[in-house]
Amino acid sequence: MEIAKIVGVGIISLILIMTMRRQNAEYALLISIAASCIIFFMIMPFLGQAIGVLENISALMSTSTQYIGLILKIIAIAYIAEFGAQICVDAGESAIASKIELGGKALILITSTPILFGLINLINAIMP
Amino acid sequence: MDIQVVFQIAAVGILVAVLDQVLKRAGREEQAMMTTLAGLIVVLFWIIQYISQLFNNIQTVFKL
Repeated sequence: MEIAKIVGVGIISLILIMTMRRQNAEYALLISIAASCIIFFMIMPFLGQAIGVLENISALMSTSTQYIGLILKIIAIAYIAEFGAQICVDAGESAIASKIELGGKALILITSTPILFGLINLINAIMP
Repeated sequence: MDIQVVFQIAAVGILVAVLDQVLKRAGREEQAMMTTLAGLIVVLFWIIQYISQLFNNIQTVFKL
């Protein structure tokens, strides 16, 4: 059961963080970063399968599949921004976390412009 | 299973904390500071390797 392993890693690192928190807090933060990396490595194969399913579905649809790459890029940007922002929130630096979130939103807006233009063209084409 | 990294970091952290106390009791404040910094740098190197590996994996998974 994959979920048991994920919860196990989370609880073990939580206990280690608790023991480290009194003497030196920076190690607690480093352990939380390492634990989140490990958990991502565990769910990585499942993400790959989910993306494969997404691509199969888009292949069935006759419409152009160029936007699937963009959607995957946006998901990756969102995930990395959230990863960094949560670490900053854990460390108590919510100002830096909000800046990272802002950067993520800006990047997502930029990468999603082709989709917007495609939608607008589609609407113009439909309008009589 | 790559949970050893978490255990290694915790081991270095505890070791540095103990060394810190011992050196402080022995009256060598600056060596205590040096050991904490050295331990922190070592752990930072491990973590940076892990984060770069994470970002490479993200790129391969999301086919960027």
